[in-house]
Amino acid sequence: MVDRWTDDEVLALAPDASSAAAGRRLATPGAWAGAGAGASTAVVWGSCRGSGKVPYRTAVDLGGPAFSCSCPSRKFPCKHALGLLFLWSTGAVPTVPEPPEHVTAWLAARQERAAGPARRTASERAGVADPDGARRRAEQRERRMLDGLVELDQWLLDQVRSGLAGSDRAGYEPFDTLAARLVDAQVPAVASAVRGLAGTAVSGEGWPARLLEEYALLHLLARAAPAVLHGDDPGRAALVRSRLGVTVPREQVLAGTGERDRWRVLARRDDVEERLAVRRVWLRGERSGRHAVVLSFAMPGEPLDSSLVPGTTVDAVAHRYPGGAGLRAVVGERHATTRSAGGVPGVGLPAALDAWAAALTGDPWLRAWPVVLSGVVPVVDGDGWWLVDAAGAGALPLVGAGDQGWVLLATSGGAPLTLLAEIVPGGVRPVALLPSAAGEPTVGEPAVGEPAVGEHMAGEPRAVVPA
Amino acid sequence: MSGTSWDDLAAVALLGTGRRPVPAGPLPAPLADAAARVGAVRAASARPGTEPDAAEHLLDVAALGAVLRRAGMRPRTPRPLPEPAPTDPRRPAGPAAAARLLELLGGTDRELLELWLATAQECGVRPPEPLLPALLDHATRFPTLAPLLVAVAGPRGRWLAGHRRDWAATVATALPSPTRATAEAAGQGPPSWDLGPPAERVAWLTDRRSDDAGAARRVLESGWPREEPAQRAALLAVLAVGLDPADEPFLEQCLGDRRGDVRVTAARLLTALPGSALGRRAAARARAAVRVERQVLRRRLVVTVPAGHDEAMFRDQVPPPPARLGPGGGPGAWLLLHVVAAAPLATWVPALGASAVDVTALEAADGWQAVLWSGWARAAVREGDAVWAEALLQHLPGPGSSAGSSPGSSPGSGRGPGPGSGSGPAGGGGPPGRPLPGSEPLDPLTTVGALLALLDGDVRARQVAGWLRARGGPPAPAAVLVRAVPAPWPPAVTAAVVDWLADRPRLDDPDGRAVLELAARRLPGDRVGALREVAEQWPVASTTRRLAGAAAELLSVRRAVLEELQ
Repeated sequence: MVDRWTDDEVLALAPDASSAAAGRRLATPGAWAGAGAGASTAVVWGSCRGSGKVPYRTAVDLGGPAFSCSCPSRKFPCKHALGLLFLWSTGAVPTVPEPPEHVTAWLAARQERAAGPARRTASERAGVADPDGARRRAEQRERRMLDGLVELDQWLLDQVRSGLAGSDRAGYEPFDTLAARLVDAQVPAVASAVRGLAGTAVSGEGWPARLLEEYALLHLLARAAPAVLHGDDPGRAALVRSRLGVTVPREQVLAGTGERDRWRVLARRDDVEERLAVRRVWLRGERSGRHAVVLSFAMPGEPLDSSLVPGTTVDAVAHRYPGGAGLRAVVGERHATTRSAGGVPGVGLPAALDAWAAALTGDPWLRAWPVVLSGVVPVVDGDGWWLVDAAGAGALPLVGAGDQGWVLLATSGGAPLTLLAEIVPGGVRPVALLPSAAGEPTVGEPAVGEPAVGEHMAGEPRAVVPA
Repeated sequence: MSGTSWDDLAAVALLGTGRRPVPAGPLPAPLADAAARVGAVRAASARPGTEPDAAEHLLDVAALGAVLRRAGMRPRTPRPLPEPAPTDPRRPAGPAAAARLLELLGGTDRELLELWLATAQECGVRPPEPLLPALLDHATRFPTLAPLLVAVAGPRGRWLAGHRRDWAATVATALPSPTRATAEAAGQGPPSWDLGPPAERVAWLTDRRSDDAGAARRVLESGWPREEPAQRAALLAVLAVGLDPADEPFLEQCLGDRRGDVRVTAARLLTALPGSALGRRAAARARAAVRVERQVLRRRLVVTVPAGHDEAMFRDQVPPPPARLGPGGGPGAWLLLHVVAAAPLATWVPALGASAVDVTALEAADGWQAVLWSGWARAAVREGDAVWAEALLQHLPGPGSSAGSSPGSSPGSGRGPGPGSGSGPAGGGGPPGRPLPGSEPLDPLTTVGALLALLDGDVRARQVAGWLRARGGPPAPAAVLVRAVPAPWPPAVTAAVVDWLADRPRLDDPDGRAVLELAARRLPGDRVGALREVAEQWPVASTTRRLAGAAAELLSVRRAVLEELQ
């Protein structure tokens, strides 16, 4: 028998607030007929009386989770599935030895479909009885990638020779054309970055400096790749491959070394990137204090992976993707999930920036580094939003604050906060509020008065140039 | 040569290395070393004799510099911290209540949101801090709900609003106008009569009037010619507090004001002032129109329709009959109605009968009953007289006429034609026409509702419950009656409404829908089951079942809101 889910776990599946509310309204025994939970199979089912004549038949495969309902709703999961799960979470659904006919048939059909791809990969693996063929294909890909990067570098040099002036009025076309060629060259992540250049060009005051920065980092990647891909540092090679967009199969990552820890799930955020729904879940190991980010993707309308719920701590093995800072990870074997308790220990601004600098030594293309900040106060004034270190260690601009800034200010009331944030070029981006830990560590030594390196390029900056 | 900065590099890139040479000035130390090393590697691998590529050099330096800049980010000079927010002594809302508030702020049911906020205020619960921006945004978008939202947002909400101009303006207008006492206590200056916004001026005048009625009137009088016409009526209405005969000359003067709302307000105040000249004039007109005639076995009322509209009537705010009247009655009926309505209720009691009940029980000759009833009803509503209200409701106009129909006013409950034949109102019978401009906005249906609103709670409950259960149905639409009873409903009304819903042959007409909606919002929470039973006696796919089910659902949500906040 499967452990009953908690109300929060069911709520985490809801695609939006109105579905959650509608689901709660259906979570009464009176609304369901013939509801049951499998004794030996992880499935819950029931019939819901809706506004139509025939009741809707709903079933949930708890393993996936996957949902089946005969209602016409396009949402996943629909309000009937949510209502059934809420009801089940309260214990009001009886355990029945055998599910009804239509439920077992649906489960069997699902297993068939799931087994399909697995069978294919097995045959693929069997089909790689031709290691030479595989090697040839890999070499061909690499040639295409390197050729594409050469073309990119030529384009960048041409841009700098003739000047960036006018890029803010050129529109998307020049960038999109180059991006299309990079897609053909099988470097999708670079293509994506090039498409993003158009936005930088029209980003307003100071755009030439920002665009030059982006061009320079692409130039670095284009020049680094040929040297590093076959160099003697496998870590660097893996980093460059990931920056080019060569995907590493999930199974391969899971097969690699794992970190077992009590991973506290700090936050979750959903975005839409290039027409794909992306879910990020931030984890932090209680023992190691290290962060990990789990990414999951779905086509619009399909459910995203909801197995990691903020506010819980998962005793599990995390496997990091190779290369660079190793921030991205997948969660493998899980042992137990408990409610998170207590506050989250954090650091002040100087320590956070030190960690950012250290991460950049491993990956110069890094755009964001998660950190738990504590003892910071949100401030809004004539120059915009800031996070100010309460111990006097200075302030950083809050990037992309928007409405979140007001929520932070309301919660803080002028008092220090603990929050999960990302250090990004130019400042800090808030992600989620966290409970404060009692007896917080003192913040690092004050570094007030030193100008940030970028503004003056004089003074004693930190040396972070890779050897 | 001075050092090269990032801006210098960007400037060269903007124009292009083909046009501008890369600045040769020294770069900062670690960057210079790295750049030199890269330069050496490039030179070593380049074809002999070629010039180093300026564009390549620029991009190399820029790449190294970009990573340096990012990694070298240090905290900037600290900004001053804000004043900390004041503490909020209220207890925090539980997780269910907090989730409910979030849902309600994003939803469309304003009444439920008001319920949450009002209950939170009563129970001394404060909303979760992260929702304060949403509360303030809501208050800015919906100013009528702003006072309640700002009150619930509490001291932290006001602190937060101080950081943003639009929220600060919302809070300033939503807080109650400072009375002189509290403002002085807070150390602010007294709200200014000379310079303040209209709401503040009304508040100031009201305060003054409570302290010294005469002085307040003299202040108003002296500034009267300079007052903005649009604000005059509101200021004049303040004189209702502490009305006394010394105000009469000023009010008589206002009867001649150019603005209609000022004249109407002045007339209303004068009518309420016992012994005023206008009151005496109105009473005289009214007594001339209606007198009691004793016959052998009974007494009855005899009406002499006012001959015509004259200048004096106009000044006393009796409106002239409009050119086109509905079939409810002709100009005579119109004048009679307004003359009767304009007279103070005290006119009738010794003159026509011993008490209000006596007077309303009298029959009127020639079928004028309905018009007289309407006139008395308007007077009762104006004066807020509960005794007259009860008497009028006990003696609704006879079965042949709609409750309170009057010439030229909106359709009655459609129970029958207007007053009958004879020398009564011309063109009687048939459904009355649309309300015409010049008639008061009180239509017959709301007259019954307005009279009910004046009654004492128990009396009203008995009256409404009795009518709902009456054989043949209530004399006015049930929705009008039920709406007049504010929540919380006494048990008699609750039971009557539930039974009415259960017994009625159809609920999807406007009346049934309105009663369902009122039931959903005013029944006590423990009657959810009763509403669900009402829903279940209807066929599954019918509209009525859906409506009744939705009403039951709404009631259960209201109950949940209350429980979550306890």
